[in-house]
Amino acid sequence: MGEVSRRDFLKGAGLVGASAAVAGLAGCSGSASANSDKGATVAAESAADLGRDVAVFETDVLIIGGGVSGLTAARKAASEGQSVLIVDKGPIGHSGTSGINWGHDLATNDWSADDGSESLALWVILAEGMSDQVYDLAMCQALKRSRASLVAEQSGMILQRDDITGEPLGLNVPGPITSPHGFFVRYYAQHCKRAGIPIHERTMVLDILVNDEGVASGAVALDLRNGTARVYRAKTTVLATGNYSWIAGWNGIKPCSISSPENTGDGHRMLLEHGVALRDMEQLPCDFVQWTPLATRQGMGAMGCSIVNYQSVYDKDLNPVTADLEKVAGVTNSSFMRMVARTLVNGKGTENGGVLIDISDVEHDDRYYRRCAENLSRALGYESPQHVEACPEQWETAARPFDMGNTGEVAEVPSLFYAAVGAGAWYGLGFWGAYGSGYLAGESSAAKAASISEIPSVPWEKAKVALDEAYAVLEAEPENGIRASELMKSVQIAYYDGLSFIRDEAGIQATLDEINRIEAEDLPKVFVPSKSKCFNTEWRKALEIKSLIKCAKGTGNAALLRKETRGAHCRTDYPKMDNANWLVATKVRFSEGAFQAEIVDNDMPYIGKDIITASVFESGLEF
Amino acid sequence: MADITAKVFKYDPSVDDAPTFVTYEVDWVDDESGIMSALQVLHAVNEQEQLGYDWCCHSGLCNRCSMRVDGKAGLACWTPIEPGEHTFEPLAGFPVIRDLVVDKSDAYDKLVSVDVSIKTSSPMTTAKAIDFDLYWNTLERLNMCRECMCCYSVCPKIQEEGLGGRFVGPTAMMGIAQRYLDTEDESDRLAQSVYAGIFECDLCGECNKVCPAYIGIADIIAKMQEDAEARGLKPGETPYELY
Repeated sequence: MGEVSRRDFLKGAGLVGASAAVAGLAGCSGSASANSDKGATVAAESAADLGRDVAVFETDVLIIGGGVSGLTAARKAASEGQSVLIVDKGPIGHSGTSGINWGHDLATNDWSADDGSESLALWVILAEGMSDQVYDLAMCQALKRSRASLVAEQSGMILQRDDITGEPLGLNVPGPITSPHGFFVRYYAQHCKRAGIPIHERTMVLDILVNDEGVASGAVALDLRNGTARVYRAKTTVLATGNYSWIAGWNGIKPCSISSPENTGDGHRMLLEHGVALRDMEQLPCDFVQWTPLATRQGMGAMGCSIVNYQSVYDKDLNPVTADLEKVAGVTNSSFMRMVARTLVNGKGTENGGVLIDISDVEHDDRYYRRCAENLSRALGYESPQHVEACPEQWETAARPFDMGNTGEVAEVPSLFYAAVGAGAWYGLGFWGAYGSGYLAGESSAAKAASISEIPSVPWEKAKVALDEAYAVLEAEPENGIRASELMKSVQIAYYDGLSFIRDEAGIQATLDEINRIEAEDLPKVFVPSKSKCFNTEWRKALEIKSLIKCAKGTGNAALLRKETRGAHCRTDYPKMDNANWLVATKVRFSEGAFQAEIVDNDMPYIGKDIITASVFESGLEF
Repeated sequence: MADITAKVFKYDPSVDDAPTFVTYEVDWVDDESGIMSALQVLHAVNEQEQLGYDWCCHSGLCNRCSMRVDGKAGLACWTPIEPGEHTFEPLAGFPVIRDLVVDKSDAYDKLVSVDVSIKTSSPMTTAKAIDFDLYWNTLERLNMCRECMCCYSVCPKIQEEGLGGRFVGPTAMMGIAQRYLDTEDESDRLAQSVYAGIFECDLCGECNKVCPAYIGIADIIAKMQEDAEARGLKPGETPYELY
């Protein structure tokens, strides 16, 4: 054990960054606790009143999240001359959905002459109408301006070349969007770090700080390596925390999301708690994973679009799942999901709730699967059979704020900008929304920051509340305590029971009931076995559970409202897809401790209802 | 009776004076593949007693479960194990954050220190064709590096001299290699590799044995050393001793 020493620890997990101002040192900590003893509400007026050590950082633009969206926003805002700081919950380049480094499809319009409008049309059709067209047009135009393909090659990646010609795969492809593989976030993260953008990794934001004027003024966070408190002060804040797919996973092994344990919906929870309405929470883009071996979660790489020949997907009796293909005008990832759903509902699915794929068809066509089979063989000594069992798993969520105009600024919270995939996660084109929205948020947040002379005031009392709550969770010794990882798993299992992609009213309601029970009865008993503040995985899970619960409830409320089948929201009690009545949005908000959900009209200023109706084939579970 | 005896390195530097090994008994779990991974063992251990370990994708893509299993560096999710006794330790040569989690940031800084941005005399506006074999069998494979840092943990040169030595390290050198082999780039990557210490590598091949992306690191370094020597870039003997 000679190679590890206490000195190494100090080097590896130093308490605070050199550039930080450290406030509220031990000598000052008495005042706040003395106030608490009197039972009065504590009004913290400065960092010194927080009652604990806190490192305070200042920046023009704060970026929360270091995936494709966050890094893109950071790179753009920095290039506009603003100081930028990235906070990432995981290890940079390897956290969140982006950080899995799938072999990302670089879905982009920068190889075509499109000005963004053709991209928007495709986006709206692939999202089956579920689009905020004003925002999504701005996002598609931003993607065009970003020159994402060149940024990729400039930052060290080499994009996929055609097998025959060796040319970039994006060349000479009809349509506005091309999708070669090869955009790896690890290179992008290196590139941003090389450019001098400060990155605070393994740092978990507890809440966005919204001051008395209702303006976002930064965030309060924990450094997960050592449990120390951090406050970030910023003129503008970009929320790029990804999705909440981890709600559909537990402990990494089945049933499991192929997303990442970072994707707990902490950003969406913060939005809801700050009164921001979210649209289309019921939608959950899925992909497929190879079921065997149990030990791995080998994703198929956007199967619905990677498998060129849809006749290579079969039910358990080796009948093609896509037998009705000829009736559907153009197969999308969504309609493919619904064909699979139909197979499962009809009892024709495989033992583990999936379908069979003939990989002899795909192995040489698809870059991703080529490596998948090779790696399973080399690393684990497993030779995949000709017919692989592939099961649907959630990897994204579509929810995002309403009313982001053409800038990405959240209407309810000025100076807060949002960047994430949204409903365009369909068709495996998540990159498109992530990069476009990140670039747009980077531009807009930088422009707004440039117009603000001073960093807005910090609501220190709110920072104090968030920190007190977080440390109380660590210290709690509840009677009949439930370990955080067990409790998280129970939330995930409850979600999966009724809100996995095949749903009906009774199941959704049962899930909501169970989630409500867990929140009321079990959450107060959450227990962290180790009291160390040093990389305490159970502490982090204990803090994440409320985000999973909030997102599960929002999703359930929205899913109850959408009484049709659309996207991968497959309602067995409402099996038809209905363009005439359901080209609408679900709107969920959290107000005064309760969820409110309603159906609202969806503005369709560019791609009208008639075009969508004509272009989106109503291939529900029955058609 | 348990099928696996897991001896697990435990160390919380904020409270422990020294690391210890704790032994856990874990049941064998598999399916018709007959495969159980080291990461599954650790999930079972964590259920018995809280463990500091990091993981994400379970399919060799994210890098986060790199560690030593039975002394060999690799990704826990891609390390098949047999019934019997096994040891689980953090990657060698890195400061421990907690238990099996290490701080890789100093090695990561070596990757950042290597400028792999494309250098062209005029702004780059296009991307060019690449030969099938070069793309699929070399460049695309270099793309698959996951920065797991297993190669740093087994590189004798890095372990002897530390990250402050002359050799930038195996995977950072692969960043230079990628630009050297990708003919888009106009700058002298061979010279860059020499300045980054490519001749410090004595081609022992330990990195090749642990790379989960199966990158032939030592083979690529050997080729670049050969090319550099042919161009007269190999550092010679120092002609004068300096005092």
